[in-house]
Amino acid sequence: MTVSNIVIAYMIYLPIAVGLTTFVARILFKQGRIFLLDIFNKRETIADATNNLFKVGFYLLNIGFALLILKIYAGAQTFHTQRMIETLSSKIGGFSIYLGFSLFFMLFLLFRGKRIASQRRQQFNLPNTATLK
Amino acid sequence: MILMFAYLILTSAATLIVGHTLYNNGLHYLLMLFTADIAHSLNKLLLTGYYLLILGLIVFTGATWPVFENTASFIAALSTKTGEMLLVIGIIHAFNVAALAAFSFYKKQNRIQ
Repeated sequence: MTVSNIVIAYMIYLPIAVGLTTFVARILFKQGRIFLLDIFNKRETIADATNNLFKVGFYLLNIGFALLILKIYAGAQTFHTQRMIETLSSKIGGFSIYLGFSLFFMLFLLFRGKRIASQRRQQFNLPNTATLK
Repeated sequence: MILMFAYLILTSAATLIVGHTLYNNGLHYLLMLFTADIAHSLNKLLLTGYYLLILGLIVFTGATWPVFENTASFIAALSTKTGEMLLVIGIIHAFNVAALAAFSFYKKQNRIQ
């Protein structure tokens, strides 16, 4: 049985989509931990717990979306190399734009949390952790 | 048949991993809100409820499949269904985290007043 071009396209798309998600998630949650430590006043257990919860949600939503948009609606006969490249490019491009939006949404959440935490510290005259060593 | 088993294994594995992570990390939140014994038992109850809900949903949605003729439509069907399930788990997870955050917020406000 010959492997059709559509299957080849799936086999190219899946590792790229999952790898891209993992790459973004690793960077985001490595740096996001610093924000969370500031938000939770240097309490490590709760900051790490929140970080892990966010990480699971991020992976679920992004890999779920990547799998959801995988299906290629084309006949096996008309799906030649040029169409394969075009389809792959629009799928991977669309997915990375979506990934960018979800990255900025996470950043928005982190900045919002940081602003609220610093407001609350000012309100109750607590020391600002940014000045602590 | 293979499709159904692959779907069940993939989504059940995702459910177990997510449940485990929620169980370990949600405990810190619950300890912040309740006393230790209540937090531990509540954590176990929440985990059981979560597994019941998601595994029930997986078995429920895994019963019907579109017709497939070749490898391409096999991969597409499996991937679409698994993707839908992962999105559903993700949305339920987001609601869980939002609920935890809301609880701790109101608890904090009550303590300050």
